[in-house]
Amino acid sequence: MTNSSEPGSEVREVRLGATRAEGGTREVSYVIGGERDLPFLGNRPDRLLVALEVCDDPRFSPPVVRDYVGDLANNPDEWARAAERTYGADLVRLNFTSTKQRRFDAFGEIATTMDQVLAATIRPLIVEGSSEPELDSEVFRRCGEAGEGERLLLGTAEADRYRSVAAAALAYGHAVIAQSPIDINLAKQLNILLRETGIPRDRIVIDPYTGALGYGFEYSYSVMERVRLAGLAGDADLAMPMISAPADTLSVREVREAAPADRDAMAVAWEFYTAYSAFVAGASIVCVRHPLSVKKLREVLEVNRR
Amino acid sequence: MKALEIYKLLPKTNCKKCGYPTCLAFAMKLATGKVEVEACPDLDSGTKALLGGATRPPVRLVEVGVGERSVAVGEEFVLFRHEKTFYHPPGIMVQVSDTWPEEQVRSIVETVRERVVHRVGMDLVLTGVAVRDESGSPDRFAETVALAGGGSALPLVLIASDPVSHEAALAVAGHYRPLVHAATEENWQDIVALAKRYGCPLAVRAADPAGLTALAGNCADAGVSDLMLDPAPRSLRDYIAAATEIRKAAIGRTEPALGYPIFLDTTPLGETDAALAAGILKYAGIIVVPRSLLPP
Repeated sequence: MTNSSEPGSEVREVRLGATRAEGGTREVSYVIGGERDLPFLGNRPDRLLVALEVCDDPRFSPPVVRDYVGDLANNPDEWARAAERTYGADLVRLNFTSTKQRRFDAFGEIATTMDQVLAATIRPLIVEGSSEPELDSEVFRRCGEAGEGERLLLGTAEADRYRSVAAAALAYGHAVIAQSPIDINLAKQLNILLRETGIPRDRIVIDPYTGALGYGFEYSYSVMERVRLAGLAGDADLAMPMISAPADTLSVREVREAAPADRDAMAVAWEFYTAYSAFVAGASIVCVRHPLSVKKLREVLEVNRR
Repeated sequence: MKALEIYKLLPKTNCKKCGYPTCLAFAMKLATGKVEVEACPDLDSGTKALLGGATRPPVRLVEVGVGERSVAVGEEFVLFRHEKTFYHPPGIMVQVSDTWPEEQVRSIVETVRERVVHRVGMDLVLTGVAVRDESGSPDRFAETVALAGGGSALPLVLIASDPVSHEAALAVAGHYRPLVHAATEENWQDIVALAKRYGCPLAVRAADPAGLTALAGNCADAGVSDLMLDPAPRSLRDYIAAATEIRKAAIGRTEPALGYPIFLDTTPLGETDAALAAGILKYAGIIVVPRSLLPP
């Protein structure tokens, strides 16, 4: 029962980003994973990363974030630059929310935004491409192509729609986010499917799907612990690093209905407790939306290195 | 031990003195660790020892405070919630100092007592107050403990290293089951005598599991069985590592002296939000937080 938590097999290392020497244009690249024990028991807390989301269409960003970042929201590249330099994010998660609008066809814009954001940032990049299955093929191809050589972390593959993102990752040398609906068996199954398309295990990051704290987070927490324990126990199809991107943490009632003066603090508290708990459960990367959440998480990770 | 094996060792008189209708019902509760073997008055000491060792929950249930606001922690059976579940949420105690002005202590105690968050059919409340001896004056400490209600309204943690301070505070609050913090290598004999006299739960504090094991063993031998373990963490990582090691030893029953709830004082760690989260996620039974955590 508990033997599986003993130090055993290693979580596979995944490289993100490519420096000039590695064929890209990033000033740094990261390695995540490599743990041989439960979170904060091993010796790799320096590998934990905090990502800040930047949306190409800010209408799909939570109001509390739009209000905080102000005009930045209208320029993804400026927003991304601020994420790294002002807010201190380890990396930017560029979310092509524009693909959520009906009858989206501005495919040319995708490559333009990719180029702009890559030019504005110096660290590895997470790219959430298409939000709609019928757009997958075209959107992922353009994201992948624009980021060729940069070793992006490209998302999101799901059980019924993984071929397009896998194809783009294979063609242009990126890593893939594999998302399953809070279910360890489906997570494993998707990883096997991805492997069969030719994606090597060291280019897969598991997203077990994260519900917001107080709205189902404990299920995600347990699945993350189980995935990590399975990986440490030697299951190679689950021994990948994890990414946690709670999607609705800033849409919960407590944040929406907070008094205007308290809203930022409530948003940050909600994101912080969710994201920090995801680290404790085993996530290597947590994605947040509020810039102040990044600062608070980075501070705690610095303290944790000691 | 299985319920039927336990049943064979019971008197089979169905006398109901244990509070259960039949000996078999009692055996089933024993098998799941839900009841103490002491509840049966008709067992000889040999059988009690045998059953006690095999059926006691791996983490002892310890209650702090009295009445409806009291908190019971421990009695956990697994390391990960997906293996079964966690039964007892930790108690969160807001710290006050005996060097603070009276008004300030009063206002914090009132906030802790009155603050309720209503959430999907649940009323979430803070647990109690931790009074810290920073004045060095036993009288002052006891006065502040009295100011905090003496334990009659809210569960208390009494934090002092000087047994004289504890003696003064227990004269005020001793009948309300405050958690006495802490017995250490240096003072444990005096402190354990006080905890025993008042029948209070006692936290033992040592920076390494071996020290905790020795202290907990000593205190249990001295007659106090409601113990908590304070691993005196230097950092958050330190806490997570120590708490995991302690709980593993308890659940695996490899070290019975570590089979007690864990105590976490977040105030020296700085990162209160993270420390509180780490305590809730990783095995803490009682968590002391600074007043800065309270909503303004």
